[in-house]
Amino acid sequence: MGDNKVRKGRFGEEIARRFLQALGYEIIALNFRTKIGEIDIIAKDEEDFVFVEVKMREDVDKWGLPAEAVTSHKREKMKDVALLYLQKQGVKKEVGMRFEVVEVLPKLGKARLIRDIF
Amino acid sequence: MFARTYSGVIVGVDAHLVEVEADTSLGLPHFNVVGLPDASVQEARERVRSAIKNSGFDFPYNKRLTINLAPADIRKEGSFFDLSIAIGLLAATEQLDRGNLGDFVIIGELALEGTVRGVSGAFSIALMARRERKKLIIPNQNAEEVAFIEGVEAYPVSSLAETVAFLSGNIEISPVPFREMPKGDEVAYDVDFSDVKGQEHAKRALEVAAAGGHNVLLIGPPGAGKTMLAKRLPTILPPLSLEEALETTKVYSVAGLLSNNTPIVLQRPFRSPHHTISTPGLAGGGTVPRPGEISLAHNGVLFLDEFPEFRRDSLEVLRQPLEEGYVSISRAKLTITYPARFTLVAAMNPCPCGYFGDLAKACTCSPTQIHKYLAKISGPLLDRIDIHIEVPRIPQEKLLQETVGESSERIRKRVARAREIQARRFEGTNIHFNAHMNSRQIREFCPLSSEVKEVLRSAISKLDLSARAYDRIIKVARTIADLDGSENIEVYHIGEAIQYRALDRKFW
Repeated sequence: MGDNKVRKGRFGEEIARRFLQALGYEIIALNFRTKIGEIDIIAKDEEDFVFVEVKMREDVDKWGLPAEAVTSHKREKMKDVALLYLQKQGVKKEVGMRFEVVEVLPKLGKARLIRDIF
Repeated sequence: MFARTYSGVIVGVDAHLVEVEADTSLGLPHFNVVGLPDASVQEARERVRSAIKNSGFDFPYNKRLTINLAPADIRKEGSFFDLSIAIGLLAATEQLDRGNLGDFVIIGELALEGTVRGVSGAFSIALMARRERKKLIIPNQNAEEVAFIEGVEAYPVSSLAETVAFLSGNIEISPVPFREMPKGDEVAYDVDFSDVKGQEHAKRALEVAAAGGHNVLLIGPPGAGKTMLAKRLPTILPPLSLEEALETTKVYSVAGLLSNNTPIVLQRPFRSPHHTISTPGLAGGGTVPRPGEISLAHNGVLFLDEFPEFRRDSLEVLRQPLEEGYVSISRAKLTITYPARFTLVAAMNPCPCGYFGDLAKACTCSPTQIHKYLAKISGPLLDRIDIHIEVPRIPQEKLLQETVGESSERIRKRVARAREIQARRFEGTNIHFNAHMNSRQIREFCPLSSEVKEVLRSAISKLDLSARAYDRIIKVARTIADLDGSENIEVYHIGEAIQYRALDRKFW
């Protein structure tokens, strides 16, 4: 059961990665994992660092939109992890940063980018 | 990038200039407002974000946004910073040319779709803009309000997009044309003293009150016409002068009571709050400070029906405004002053059941009840009310008579004459009315002949009048003499004035 969840998650992230690349994003890290949390995809779009959370739902009617699952707690955590990432890469924190969500709806064959999650 | 716009903040009834600094920098995305904003200003963030997006501009969501409202030591309240914050952000992200932004004071609340909503206090803001020699951008809904202020260039806008187009020089907006204030005597009231049948005694007392700026207490059974009389007092006061109209309009603007239909206050206000009113409701204040009823009655009449039923502490706050003409509200961080110069008309029943002393109906109250009822009004407060009169019920035959009483216009002319005499008398002093004379001024302006003194002395001892009544009677007598056009206070002036001390004589 647990493995199944992980497999589904990887599947969603793969779709999201291709989707972002199609939009012209340069993917620089996948599943960046730290003690305090994880960011699914880190990319660069022109000058901005883009931190992306991927959410997938198979049944929207039953569970609601994927993006609804990105709570304020998760958003705050993403900020912390993002700053940690930049620190580890030796990048100054005075750079353009964006936090985005990719919704994957496999049954509808759809993916959607939400550009401003704050 | 950085940009600066200007807006205003209301403290009391006056506006102060506020610099709205907008800065965007790289870093963790965040939208922060500093400079002592209260909750309503914090919420501006959400309105500004949506309005910018929905007006077809880019909200810089990959940047760190800081808005500073200077001076940082004045608490910023209200929603009218929205527009200036949005304009500042657009300028800071170079979606708008920064060139002439410094020439404008910008106020307006934003709707999420990007339209601009009206705000309260635009009148005071416009006066401030004129003082600071800046032009003004205001919501359409406030256009009529600022039209009466000469020498301010105000541009009405209806949306964020329109404001940006105007500031970038893409469209022309014509400033609100200046409108001359209508003269006070062109203002018609919809009530008139000729509506009141009988009560000649009370009408005369109100005429004296209007002439000398005296406060009045009307005592009478239910249905005697106390409210009817009080409502007509503004109609015999001289019309508002330009200065007075501006002052009162300022209060109404700050209280958010002006609209495009009634953009300015031209009639003397008549306020009659219910006796259950809270102290802040009466005196002003509250979490978001607002002028109270006494300030809304500025330059007009405050009518307190069922006077003893008001909360004791509410009545006591009347003392300062009755004396000084303004009210100060102290809060933890600041003191706010609202103007509150009004004629107080209080009305009460003579006893809890209302029929004490009535000719037709018997009173059912015990002496203790009556005493307790009357004791609700404190001596110091009563001290500030010069004229007390009884308003008896009118017999039916008189009500049915077809006689028409004197019109307000004729009474107003007499009042105006008496006020001219006082204006000459008090030239060079800081008071305007007989009612405000202190004891030294009473001695100076109201010399009494020995004959008059004798009448007053015997009245006081015979009627058992209190000492505090003495000065009051002389002041009222002075006004009666002024109405009469008489240089000296004569015996019959004093005689009439003594009649206006009903409470000292009968009840207290």
